[in-house]
Amino acid sequence: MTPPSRPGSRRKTPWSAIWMFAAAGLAVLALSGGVGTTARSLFLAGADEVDPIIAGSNLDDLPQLMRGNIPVVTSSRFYDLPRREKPPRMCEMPEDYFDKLDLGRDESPGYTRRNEYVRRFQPRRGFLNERELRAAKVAWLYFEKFTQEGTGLANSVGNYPSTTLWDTASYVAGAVAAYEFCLIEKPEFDRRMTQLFTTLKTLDLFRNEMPNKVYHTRTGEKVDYTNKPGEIGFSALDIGRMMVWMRIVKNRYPHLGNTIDAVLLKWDFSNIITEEGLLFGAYVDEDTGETRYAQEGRLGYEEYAAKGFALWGFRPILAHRAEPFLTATIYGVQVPYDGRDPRIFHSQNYVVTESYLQDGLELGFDLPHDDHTPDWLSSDGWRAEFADRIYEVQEQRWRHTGFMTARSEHNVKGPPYFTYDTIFSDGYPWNTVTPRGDYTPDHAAVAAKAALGLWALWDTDYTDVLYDAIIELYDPETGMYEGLYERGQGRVEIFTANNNGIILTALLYKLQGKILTPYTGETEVWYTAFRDQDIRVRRNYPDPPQREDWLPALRHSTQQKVEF
Amino acid sequence: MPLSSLTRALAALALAVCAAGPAPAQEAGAPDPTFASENAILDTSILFAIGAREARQELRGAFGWPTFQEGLVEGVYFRFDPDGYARFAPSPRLDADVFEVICRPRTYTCMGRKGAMQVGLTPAGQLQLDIENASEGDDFVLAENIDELALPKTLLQPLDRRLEALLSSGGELVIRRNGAEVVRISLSGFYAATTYLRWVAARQDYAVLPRSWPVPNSVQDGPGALTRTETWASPMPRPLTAPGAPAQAPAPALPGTTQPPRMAEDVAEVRGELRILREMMMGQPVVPAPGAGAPLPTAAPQAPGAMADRLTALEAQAEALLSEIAHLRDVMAPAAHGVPQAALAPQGLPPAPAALSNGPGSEAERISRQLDYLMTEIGLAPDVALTVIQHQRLEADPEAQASRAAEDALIDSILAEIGPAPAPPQPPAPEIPPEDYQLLSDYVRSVMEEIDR
Repeated sequence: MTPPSRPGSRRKTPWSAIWMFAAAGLAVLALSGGVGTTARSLFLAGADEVDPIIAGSNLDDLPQLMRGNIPVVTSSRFYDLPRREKPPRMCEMPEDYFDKLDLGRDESPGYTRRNEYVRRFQPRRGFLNERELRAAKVAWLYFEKFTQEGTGLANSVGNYPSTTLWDTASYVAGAVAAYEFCLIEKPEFDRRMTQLFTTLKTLDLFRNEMPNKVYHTRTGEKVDYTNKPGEIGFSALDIGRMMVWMRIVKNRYPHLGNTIDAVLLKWDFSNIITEEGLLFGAYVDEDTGETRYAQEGRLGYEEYAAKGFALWGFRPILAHRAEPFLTATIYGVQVPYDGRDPRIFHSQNYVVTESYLQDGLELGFDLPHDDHTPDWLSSDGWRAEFADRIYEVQEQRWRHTGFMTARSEHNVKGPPYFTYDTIFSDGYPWNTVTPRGDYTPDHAAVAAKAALGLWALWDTDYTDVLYDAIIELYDPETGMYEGLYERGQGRVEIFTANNNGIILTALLYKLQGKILTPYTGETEVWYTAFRDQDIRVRRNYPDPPQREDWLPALRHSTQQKVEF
Repeated sequence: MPLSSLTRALAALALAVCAAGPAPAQEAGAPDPTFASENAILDTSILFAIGAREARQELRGAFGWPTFQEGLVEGVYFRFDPDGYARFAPSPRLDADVFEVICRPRTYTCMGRKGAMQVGLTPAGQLQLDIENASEGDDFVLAENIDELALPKTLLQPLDRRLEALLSSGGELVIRRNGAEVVRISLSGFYAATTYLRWVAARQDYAVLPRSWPVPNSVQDGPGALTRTETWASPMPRPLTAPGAPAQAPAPALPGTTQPPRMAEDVAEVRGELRILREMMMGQPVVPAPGAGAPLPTAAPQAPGAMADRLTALEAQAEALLSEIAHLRDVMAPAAHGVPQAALAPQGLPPAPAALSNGPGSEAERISRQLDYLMTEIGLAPDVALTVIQHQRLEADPEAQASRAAEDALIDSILAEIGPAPAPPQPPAPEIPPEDYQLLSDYVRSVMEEIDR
């Protein structure tokens, strides 16, 4: 039975729907054809207006990279922000210099969204007063007295004619500070630095690879630990520190740049840093005489040295990481220490002040690519936060026990001439041990370099006490003493390049802030040399670092207050 | 308070001053040549006891000893440096109750100290205690908890074995004067430290260690030694073989190949002995050779007999060393026809060294060669070397031998006068033919038969 049709309605047939579908399809085809034709004409018309890229020109990115003459991408370049400027020398500073300085006093402490860190403590800034200037002059005396005329190398310890790259970096630090304090003028500074870097360039390397651990300062020969001709191996930490100061000198004084580049372009970096970004030192196997490579560096020193490598384009990703680390609660402060077990790795995890001081004074707790943040903002946030803990636990010890505490590795008079005067090591707080691990509490001392470093970076009542204990601890004809024994045996009557160099660095920080200044040039020989040979590949020379090569800014859980 | 390295420094300094007289002052607190390689008297890779290990020192600076050895023995932990400085303590930190050992620079003369007690070795190898504020009249007691054992007054004299064993057993040494305690010293580590003193004095020779000491089995062999089948020398006694058996003879080094490590060790050992001999000779008063340019001292002339004895002893030492060197050289030299010379020669009878043999050339050349050899290889002083050669020539000369016989006779007569009367000569025992011997059972049987009769 068929349904009845409604009156007035006309019945639609299937043919009408087919006709409608076909019409719509034709319309779509026509439209797309028209759009395509128009787009093609527009595209073809535009191609005529594009500048042609000529091979090798500035627009040809790949060959530029191959030649190494693309600029290093720093934070100021990437974010298009003004970079920091090199402060004037003390004798050229206007009197109101510090009145205009942004010290970030109103900033609230803690991490920023970019994992930068605003410290809870203010650093000291200002002109040197009379006492400080006298200390600076005396500290510089050490280098005037113990620099070898023939080689330009400075002795590590008094008149003992040997040195390491670590201590040589301290000498460079001393020279930079002396120049910036106007204790020496440019001819003298240039003479010293040129002679030193020329000697470094001619040093006989350890197995044609990297500088030997120790050199005789009079002859420039590589020597062993008894200062006899021989070879030991190389230290990635020592070399890392030297690279920090080579970058500082090159950035501050571009006229010395080529000399410095020439030194680095003799070194072979193929084994000292791995693809994963770990630092390796080398030593000689006693039985076979072969070179052995071993991971070097523990929390504190490892990151500092890693930044030295990163400043020259390397990518020490793993060495820059804090992990694996643990914390030990001492006087309510969670002190970070390296988590690698000394019983397995046969390397102690000494927690001392020095490496944090150097990071703060020289690099401002900043990442290597950072050339724009102010001094009060640390782009390598966790380093600044850890450093605050290192400071605070020492102040807490003073408050709880009365012992003035500024702990560092330091030399002592008499065998074994060196001690690790630690905040924590081998499971014990305030552990003072010899290089072979004997507990020697009699060697515990207020290290002069640590005391003045803390004083420069932490402007507190406690560091005022340290300052008073140390600032006059000098021999007017030789230099600053190494420190003050904690148990009342008097001064540590030994004079070292490292101590005097770091003291000068601390004083320079007060005057100028972060020591590392931005590089103001474009292209560097370090990145362009040997592009026509395979030397760069064989020696693992890096290309100019770009944004993706930056070390990451990280944060770790923070300790807001002292916990008991 | 534990003894610190500061004490060590002071003691070492004092010892150095005593040993070497006034030293040039060090400027600016710079290190003296403490870490000079000449000051290394110990090889830290030679383990003091089972379980010890050689480790690298964590040096950040430009100088220091690169290695040390640490371990646990007889209940105490220890560490020592190449210069002999050692610490023994019951805790692994070596922080409390420490027995410290300090050696005089560049010598094997060491002393241990803990608190008021010092202990050293006498030339005879006995332990000798020195205790501050102690005197012969004091009472010495060995205390352990509430038990006390009185010690003889001879404690401050060189210790005999019995006393040494008592002190080594541990406890505390208490010194009382008029009933009041003057000093109390823990003896923990005494046994290990005194054993260490002897071991150092014996140039790390295991032979001087006590019978119960845990001597490492594989001396100087590192972890990889297990795979060194070609050069590995078993510490177990090796069976004796007939002379000439090539299997026991070390393989000679082929030309152009590297020296086997074992051979190198032997050579090093001989060289070490030579060095020690040289040092001994340099340390002893040199007997000037007659006619060697140095006149004999007139105030205290040496008896001809003493000189002859000394020359004989020197000659014996030199000959023994020469034999050893010649033996090693033969072993190392490429063997003719592929057969090692050492394997063909019976052990203990090596060929005479060419340097002292009557080789070709003029007499002057031969003497020159001999002199050169004795001075450069053996390390004798020129006058001593000349004396040895002259003595050798005297022996070869019949007239000189007659003179020597006369001297010997003179010495015998003197000895006979000053010594006990020699026993009368025994008459020669009568020779008994084998058939005269009788079995005991036969003898008993014959006796019994006689009784039965």
